[in-house]
Formats: sequence, structure tokens, C-alpha cells
Amino acid sequence: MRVSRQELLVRAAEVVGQRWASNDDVRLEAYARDAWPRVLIAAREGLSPRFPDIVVWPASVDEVARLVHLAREVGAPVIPYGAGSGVCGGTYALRGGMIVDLKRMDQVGIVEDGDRLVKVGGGAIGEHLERRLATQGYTLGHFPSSMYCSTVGGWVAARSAGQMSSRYGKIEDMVSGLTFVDGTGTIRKLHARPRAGDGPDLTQSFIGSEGVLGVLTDVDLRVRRAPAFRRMRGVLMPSLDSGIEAVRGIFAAGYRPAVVRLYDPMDTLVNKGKGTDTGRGAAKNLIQAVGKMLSGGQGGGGQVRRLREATVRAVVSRPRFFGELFDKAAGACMLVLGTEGQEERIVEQEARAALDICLRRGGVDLGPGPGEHWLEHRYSVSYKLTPALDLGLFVDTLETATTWSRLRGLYQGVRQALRDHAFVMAHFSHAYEDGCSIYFTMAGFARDLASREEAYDRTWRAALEAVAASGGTVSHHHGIGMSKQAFMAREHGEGGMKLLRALKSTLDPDGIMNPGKLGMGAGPSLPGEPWKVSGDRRRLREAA
Amino acid sequence: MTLLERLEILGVIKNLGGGGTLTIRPADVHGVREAVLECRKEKTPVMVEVEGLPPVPMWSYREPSAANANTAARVFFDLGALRNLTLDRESHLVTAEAGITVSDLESEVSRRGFTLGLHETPSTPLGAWLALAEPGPACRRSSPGWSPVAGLEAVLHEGSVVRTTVTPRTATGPDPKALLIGSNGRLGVITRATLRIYPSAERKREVLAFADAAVAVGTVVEALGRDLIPDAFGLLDGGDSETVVTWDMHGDPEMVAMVSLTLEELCNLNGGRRLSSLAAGGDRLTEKERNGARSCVADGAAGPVEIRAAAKGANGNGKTMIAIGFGCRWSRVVLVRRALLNALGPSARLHLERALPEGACGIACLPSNQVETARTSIRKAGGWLTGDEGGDDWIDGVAGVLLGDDDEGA
Repeated sequence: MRVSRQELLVRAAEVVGQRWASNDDVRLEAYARDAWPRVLIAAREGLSPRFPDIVVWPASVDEVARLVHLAREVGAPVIPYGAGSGVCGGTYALRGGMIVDLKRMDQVGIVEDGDRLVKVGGGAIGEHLERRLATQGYTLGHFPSSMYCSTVGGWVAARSAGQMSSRYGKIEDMVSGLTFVDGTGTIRKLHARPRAGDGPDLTQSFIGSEGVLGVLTDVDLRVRRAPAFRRMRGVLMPSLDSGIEAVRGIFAAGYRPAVVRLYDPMDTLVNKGKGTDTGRGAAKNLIQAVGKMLSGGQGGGGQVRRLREATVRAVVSRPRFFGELFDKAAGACMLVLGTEGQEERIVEQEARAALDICLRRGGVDLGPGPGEHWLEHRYSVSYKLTPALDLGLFVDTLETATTWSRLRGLYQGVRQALRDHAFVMAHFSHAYEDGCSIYFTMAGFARDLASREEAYDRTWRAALEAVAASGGTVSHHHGIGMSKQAFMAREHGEGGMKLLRALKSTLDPDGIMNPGKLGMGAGPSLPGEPWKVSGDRRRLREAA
Repeated sequence: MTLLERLEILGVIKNLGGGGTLTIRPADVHGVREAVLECRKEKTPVMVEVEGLPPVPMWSYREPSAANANTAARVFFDLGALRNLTLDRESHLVTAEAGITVSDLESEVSRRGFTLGLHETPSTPLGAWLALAEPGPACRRSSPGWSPVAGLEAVLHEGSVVRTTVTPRTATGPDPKALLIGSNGRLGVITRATLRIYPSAERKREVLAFADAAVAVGTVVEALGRDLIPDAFGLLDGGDSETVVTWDMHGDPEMVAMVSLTLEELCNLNGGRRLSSLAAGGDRLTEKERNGARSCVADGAAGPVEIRAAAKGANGNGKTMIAIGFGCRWSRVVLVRRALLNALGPSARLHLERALPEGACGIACLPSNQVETARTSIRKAGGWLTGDEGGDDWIDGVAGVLLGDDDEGA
């Protein structure tokens, strides 16, 4: 950067107003990280990665363009910022620079019934958007578990998926047009209109760019009328294999249930086994104690709680032994199904047909209870990490996807790769006609911060290697950020990366947009190699 | 050693043409890569040869390095030897090399009980069909964001290979497939693709007729609003006669029947009538549909393919008719139609081929001497024309960077 932090602040304030630009250390610390668990581990010890130089809150696309012009002139990195809920380190100010928080750009337009499009500011919080749409009788159908703490711009930047994506699609299916400011400060509009089929699809060439191509300022989203009917169901499948076959059968038959969540035997025992005979013996109780802690449960008095904590540490620190023990205890798999729509008879038919497919594969109908329980608690999991971190655990999630023919191999490959590193459970959701996503939850333990960081990195490396070797994608909906960028070339091939880097050079010739992310341009690759939080952090008290 | 000699060593030469051109026929992706690398060394433009279509330049030399380019010579890539195909029944996917034609691919998968689910299956090689995006891989099936392409392999200018992971969805950055498909081969040669396929036995087509085009459009909008999403769609403006809507579905027969019933009720409510409900057997419309749409083109051509083909050269009411691609939001369809009729008279017709929640794309059939009037009318009424979407500057930029990198590397 060719100017001082103070000068950058003064000049940015000339664009957005003094109130909307800051270099206050408390604010900078808040914007120094997102929700990447690797850095949250360090944060629990009072450590933080490098601070950005300033934070700005523009109110219009013109202000964003002027800010980017300024950044280009002085050589300051620009990092677009939504609500900080990303879990891959996508918003780190690796080289300092300007955080552009878009939350003031949160307008939600009026839906025209004929076209069913709505223009939404990139900074609109998901839950606010959905509430505004509901008053007009519509829904976007996008419900990530971060619904309360993520923005539309963030969703588009990371190719997000909601919990009902099997019916409504991922966010890239919902975007008809968008506006962004590229790295030269040029405002670019990709108009909201059905593609006539000619030329490359520029919208899809921008979606997922995680801020490395430009700052997304508004989006034209396809919306649907809010569903008038909904049917939830729980089915206990005798095995994971029968569950996978049932889900594949539902989609092969052309049905599109809104909710499809198949929990593997471990996840079924840990979280979904209440009131059902889903496991055997004392191991079942032990697993459920672990599950309660991993999902944030803190019940019980002092001694009971300490005993439970010690148990969890003991289990998580010996993943192979306890994993094999639990595998023997585990049995059936919970499958949660939900159908919804405008036409009651079609919703009923879909629900009936999906259930029939499950029952034909040995499933046991548990009625609507499990589905309705899931619906009620579906956003809870995103806010329960802290108690696990306090125990010295690291917990993270890996969302991958592949074709149906490779799905079992991918599942087994990742579990096998992680057996010495972490306690693992998984569920299968976001199903399609040609494949499905797997969502792994991984938990490990180490006594001190340095060894915890190393264990975390080892676990991730093993998991991603297994994903790549099994033909899966390294991300289905969390994005790449910093955590997975070393695997980008394996995802797209050497040529694919050249193509993406050329696109970046076209739209951001000076490389100021979110540098060091997505495997584009110089920057750290896999966590721990060579970058470490501890190598570039400072104590909060020093910052204060 | 000359380029010719090096290509001879690679064993890829098919024939020599006049004016310094030659045609090569690589046996596989490695052959494509090696040949591309040799051509790059000589800065010889590569053209991908597609029977019946003008050759597509793989790259151009509009950049500063153009002065060094060997612009006299041309190497034509004939990808006809790349014809391997594998079917993944469990995942409903077919992986095919670029040389197989779309129509042959449809035949191959239909022998195995599947279909590509496209309105038309041209005899264009798969690689060219994707590179040209015309009739367009992303413009047939109606689901938003849907693409028939689950994975892609291509060789870029400097020989590096794009090989995307085959996956239903991903969140690994911008989609390289989206840049390559429709970029007219200017970024690289597509050598292989994985496409989504559907069980062919479970397809059905509803055919509905409406006296008024505006009512037909309103019914379609209402049906989409009720989440009755077609797998393929057509709206043929009948002019003075009835407007015909076709609605293709696939999937479980009970569900398809339920959707059919709901559609029929909606149609009846709006004063339309159901012409037929039949298993969708191909591109051709039935006799009844043809009657309903008989005035769409003067010679009564039958289906979307025929309409497009006929419109390009047919003699309608003594005038040569041509087709131009257009699109508009639903709220503008009737305005666009009215604008065309006002400007061109009753011989103008619309045929919508793709229904999305926010609008539709299709072709307008009109007398060839009134194209400019039609273009102006469509844009004034809020529609847009094929080609208006832009993207050339992006592709120019990306191609320029790739060429620049290559030059720097050299």
C-alpha cells in the first residue's frame, strides 16, 4: 500500500462519510476473521490474525466504485465483507487493506408477479430478506443454517446452498442477474433475463468468485410463491446403503422433496436417536454424551458436567478405538423427508411416493415427528461451536459431493482417512438426480494451541486428499477461501486454473481484489503450509 | 523442423489443403494437446472443423503479438476420431468425447433406455455443439440454472488441460465450464463432456390450445407460479388461429398424471382446450398440434427443429421467412408480440422454446426484408435479441491474458 493507514481512512471517508469509515482497533479486530474454525480456535486463546487497515460501509454501487478506484490508486487490497459467517477464511485481510462491509446495501425490492424476480442488495441478511418476501407472499427457498448471520452477497460469493436445495436449487440456480464493481472500479451489470443460449454464461462465471473478481452490489433473484402445503416425515432405514438407495430412487423417479437428510449410523445415534431403537448397549449412551457436547449441550450440574467433559475428551482423543467401537454399536439410519408446494394433491403424491420408495427398501415410518423436530431446530447448529472449543476440541465440517456411483466410495474413503485424526459423523443432503452431497462433522482434541492447530491441519489435509482421490468435489457449498485452495487445481485441472486466473487478470488487472484466495495469485495455500495463524497474529491486548 | 514435419511425427495429419492449410485428426486428448502445442510454437491459428458449419477459430491474434502470428497458415482440427462413450446408469450420466454427434449420442443413450431430453438433437459434433452453444445446451430444459453438462474436458491454447470434477454441484469458485461453453472455441478445444440423461420411458407431452396468445402466456405464467415446471416447453403463436402450448414432463407416471391434470384444469379455467396428451416420442409435433400451429410458417413445418429450419429458407406467403432469436420477461411477451405484429403485419410469428420463472426465450419468424424493423420493435418492447447478452470483452480479455502468458513463457 502506497499510503498510510490514516491517509487511506481520510480518503475513504471522503467517499462514504466519516461515520462510515473506521480504523478503530476494536472494529478492525472484529473484521479480522470470519467463522473459520481454525482461527476461532486461536481466538479462544485471545489471538487474532492480521488486522485490515480500515473498514468502510458504503451505501451505493457508486460509492463502492469510488472506493475501488481509490484502492487501485493507492495499491490497497479490497476485501468484500457480508456478515462474516464464512467458514473457510475467505475474508482474511492477508495483506491488510480495506474491508468493504456491504450491510448498508440491504434493499429488498418489490416482486413483480409475472416475472417473479426481486432485486436485492448484496448486504441483505438472509432472514430479513425471507421475512420481506413473506409479506409479499413469496419465498426465495434458500435456507442455509447461517440464515440469521449471512448475507445474499456472501451466498452468491461462495455458491451457498440452503437446506431445501433439493427443491429450490442452490443460490447459483436462483440468480438471474447481478451487478458488481470489478477490480478497475468499473460497474458491470449482468442483466436479469433468460439466457437465449448464445455466448458464455457470464453470470455463472462470476458466481462463486469469493470477492476475487469484484464487489457484488446487487442481485436479481428468482423467487417462488410461498408454499401453501408442507408434509414432513421421518423414516428409519435399516442401513446406510438402503438409505442411499432410497434417496437415489426418489430422485431417479423425478421427485424433488424440499428436505432430504439421511444421517449415517453415527450421526443418527448422536443426534437423531431419541425415542427410537437406533443403537445397542452402553456405547449408545456414550455416543449420545459426545453428541450432546459436540452440539453444544451444557446441561447437568458441576460434577456431572465435568465427568461428561472428561468423557468427551477421552473419546475424541482416541478416534480410531472409539470409532470402531461405535461402529459396532450403530445400526439404523434416520432419513428426514419434507415435501412442499402450491398444490396439495401434488405435495401429497410426492410425500406418499417418497415414503413408498423408502418402505420398499426396508424403512420404518416414524411419522411426521422427526421431520417437524428438525424443522423447528434447523438453524441451531451454527451457534454451538463455543462449548466444544472451550473443551480444547476442534470441530469443523466438510461438505463434499459426487455422483451416485461414487458416493459410497467417497463416504468410506473420507472416514478411513480420518480414523486416526478425528471423530467423524456424516449426513447426506442436497440430493440431485445425478448425485448427492455428504456433510462430514469432524472433531479432534489436543492439549495446547500449537498441537491443536497441527492436528486440525493434519485432519483437513487427510480429508481433502481422500475427497480428491475419491472423485468428489472439495466443496459443495461452503466455498474455498483459504482452507481448500491448494486443491483447486485438482478440482479444475491445470487448465481450469489458468482459465480462472486469466479471468481474474481481465477483471482485476492489479490483483487488488481479495488477494491470496481461491488459489488465484500469491497467497498461503493449505492451512499450516506455509501459513499459520500463529505466524501472523498479535495479541488482542496489544492491539487494544 | 517445420510444423508439418512435427505434426507428421505426431501422426495426426489427415490431409493437406491449399493456401498453407492442413487438416489433422488427433486420436485422443493427448494428440489434441500435442498438436495444439506444436501450432502454438508456430503461432498458427487453429480452427476446429465442424461439418456443415463455418470453421471455428480456437484463438485469434488481435492482441499485440498479432504481428508475429503466422496468419497465412491454418490448421483444421477434425475431432471425428474422438468418439468414446461411457454410461453411468446409476448416476444418469453419459461421458462422451467431442467427436460424436449429438444425434448419434441420443441414439446411443436411447438404446440403453435413456434420453438427453433435448428438443432437438442436431448432427453437430458434441464438442462443437457445446462450443457454439447453438442451439444451446443451456436453453432447452426449463429449470433455472439447469445445464446438461456435469463435467468438461478441454485443451487450452498453450496445451494445458481443463478437466473439471464431475459433480452434481460445486462451490469451488467461478465455473470454468461456463466460460468454455458458448465461447466459440476461442479459449480452447472441448474434447470431452459428461452430460445428464433421463430415463426415456417416462416422458409425456401435454398439448394445450388457446384462442388468444395473451391468455396462453397468462396460463403458462400461472402454471409456473404453481410450480408446475416443465422439462421442455413450447409456445407456438398461431397468429389468427389458436396458440399452442406444449409441456413436456418426465418422471414417475403417477406424478406426471397429477401435473397433467392440474395443467388441464388450469387450461379449462382460462378457456383453453387440451389438444392431446401423449408420450413424447421425438421432435415432431402431432397432426393436431400441427393444425394448431399451421400458420407458424407457411409450409406447415412440424416441430421446433423444422420451424427453425423452415423459417430460415421457407417461402411464406410469397416472402422469404427467417428466424431471429429473442428473449423477454413474461411481463413483456405480449408487448413484444404486439410490437412485432404492428411493425410487420400478421405474417410475423413467435415461438417460445424455453420457459424460465422470469421469462422465456425463443425465435421470431418474419419476412427476411424486415429483420431490422423486427429487431428495433423487440428491443423497444423490452425484449432482447440473441447476441445482446455480450461477453465478448470477457472472452477477449481471457484469451488475451492466456496468449500473453504464453508469449511471456516463450
